[in-house]
Amino acid sequence: MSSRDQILRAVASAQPGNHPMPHLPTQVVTYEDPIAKFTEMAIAVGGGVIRVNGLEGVKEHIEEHYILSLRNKWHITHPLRVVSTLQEMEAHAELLLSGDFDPHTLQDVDIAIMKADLGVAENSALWVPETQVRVLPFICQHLILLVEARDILHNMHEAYALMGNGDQNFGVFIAGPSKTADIEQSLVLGAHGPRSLMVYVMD
Amino acid sequence: MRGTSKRHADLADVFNADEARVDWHDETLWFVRTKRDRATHGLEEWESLREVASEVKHHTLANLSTYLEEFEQQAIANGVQVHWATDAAEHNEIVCHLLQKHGIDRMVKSKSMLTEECHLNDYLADRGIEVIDSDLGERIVQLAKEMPSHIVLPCIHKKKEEIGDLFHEHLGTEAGESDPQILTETARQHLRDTFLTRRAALTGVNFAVAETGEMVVCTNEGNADMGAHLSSIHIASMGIEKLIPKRAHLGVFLRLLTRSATGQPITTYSSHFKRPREGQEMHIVLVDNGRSRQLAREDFRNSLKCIRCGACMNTCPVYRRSGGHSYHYAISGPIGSILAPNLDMKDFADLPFASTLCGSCSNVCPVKIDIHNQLYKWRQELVKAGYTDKKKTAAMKLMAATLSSPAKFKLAGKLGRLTLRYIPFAVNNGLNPWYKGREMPSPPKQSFGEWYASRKKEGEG
Ligand code: SF4
Repeated sequence: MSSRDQILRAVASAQPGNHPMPHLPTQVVTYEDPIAKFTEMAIAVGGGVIRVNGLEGVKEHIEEHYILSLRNKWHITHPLRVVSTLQEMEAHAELLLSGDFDPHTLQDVDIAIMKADLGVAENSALWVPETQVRVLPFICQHLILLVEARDILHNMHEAYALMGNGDQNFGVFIAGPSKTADIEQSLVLGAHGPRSLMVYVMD
Repeated sequence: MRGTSKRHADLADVFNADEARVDWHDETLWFVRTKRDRATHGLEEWESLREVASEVKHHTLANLSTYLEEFEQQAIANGVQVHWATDAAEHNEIVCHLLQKHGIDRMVKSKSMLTEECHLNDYLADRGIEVIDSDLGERIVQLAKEMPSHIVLPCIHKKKEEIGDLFHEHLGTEAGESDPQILTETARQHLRDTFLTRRAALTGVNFAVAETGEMVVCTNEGNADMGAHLSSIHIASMGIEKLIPKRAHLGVFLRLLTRSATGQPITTYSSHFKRPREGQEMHIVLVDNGRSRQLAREDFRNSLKCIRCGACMNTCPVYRRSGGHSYHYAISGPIGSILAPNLDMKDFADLPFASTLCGSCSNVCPVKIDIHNQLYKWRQELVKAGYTDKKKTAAMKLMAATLSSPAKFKLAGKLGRLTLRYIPFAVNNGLNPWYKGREMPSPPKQSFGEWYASRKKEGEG
């Protein structure tokens, strides 16, 4: 008998009698102002949030504030490699519109600009589907995520209800920059992934 | 570490030799426990979430063979190759074979307690394959040639100065450097190079969804993703109990997992792997290794609901004061003490006794496993099977008798308090085998029974 059949047979004979599938919780937290809650949680997990007026607002803030303060804060003097999966960022970033190349070549990306499908107020998680290159939101030094204000939901149940089973090959909820507290519980941002996360909430 | 004659009490003695460290370990884990409390108390639906999660797991276990088949079918349709391993040895063979087939002799791995359970690293090392653990805490214990001492916080037993020494020796940091920021940055550089140069990555699995065939991996560091997305072959190892029926159930479990584990609202990354990337191979190894046996044990079946949050360890007075290594099993603490004897009753007969049965573990468990009851039941099983020493058996019988009689329970509580207040050394001696590895809590001035009675008298009850 194959291991597969052996395991399935052992499980089938061991499993208890049927037990009904429970319903999902119905009384679930919602917020008066989900964007305010989202912002509070995003800051609590080490990220930054700026509310802007559409894409134009994003571009303006990146050019006038974000890059400057990033350079100052992290003492960056070299030319920045900024990439984006968004056609709209053409004037501001090198575009990545196809996944047809070696992901290792992204190792020197300083800033990646991507769009999230939705955000979740209770924990500030943003759903980032696979956009050309899976490794991009992890390998970049700093990550910028854009999300529409109207796409910020209250809680995780709403997020999965909206997404359904999806048909994405890969997708990730991202909440804050990469972090670790493995050394004596001291929080350090930038474990392996981005050292910082900036979220632009667009009206 | 299976097969050694090590026992929890002796190992706890070793840990307890350094009292200051025990206090620090105790306080650090209690701090994590309080973060968990803060994260959960704010959520009104917390208790109903736990209930639903527990029921979803119950339902899944009741139909596990069907869900496994559904998952397999979906995963194959997604282009993922599915393997089945009846035990640890078969799991290790499968992984080794996959690597050898591709001529790979170096692999990067993200956190997977299952591979610890299977001793994969040693197995591969013996066959000339180097594995680098990429979770910072796991990398640290790997450099120290130790096992993780906690399933979520692998090097929680280590002081930053010790980590500094390891990094000085292996990664070339300045001698005496112990700043967590600098040490983490050093590990980042070192592991980035590893991620970029490995063709194979192995990850664990937090949840696998039967209806979609996808698997979810949760990390704060992003190490699982760095490994998997840069590799040409991604192997995911999962115990067969990690299944959940529907994608919508992830909403429940992702809300529970990290709030229970570290008090965060969610991990930084919750990655949903469904199909391999262009040109990449993705493999899933479904591992039994005693799980079907545990499923058949009615008393212990619930332990398979565990989502490995670590909350039961952080809250356990014995764990906090004896350290994870005293459990001499990959999964330490209260839940490890239920899982380990299933694999080997003789080797792990001591573990269900490494508990005060205070029930704090069951109170915090996000999937409502009756942990302390199961520990108590294991004690009975182990005594029946003749795997316990006489001293403990006698003490346990006394305790069983006490617990079964309310009058005796009251009296024992009263006596216990008097004894503690006036002659603590009488309790802290070799005659009380449960004392090992923990400090008796300072006794309340009134027992609960007395307090309740006085409350009633005062007309408040
Ligand atoms: S038994 Fe419960 S509390 Fe302990 S690790 Fe598992 S899920 Fe968490």
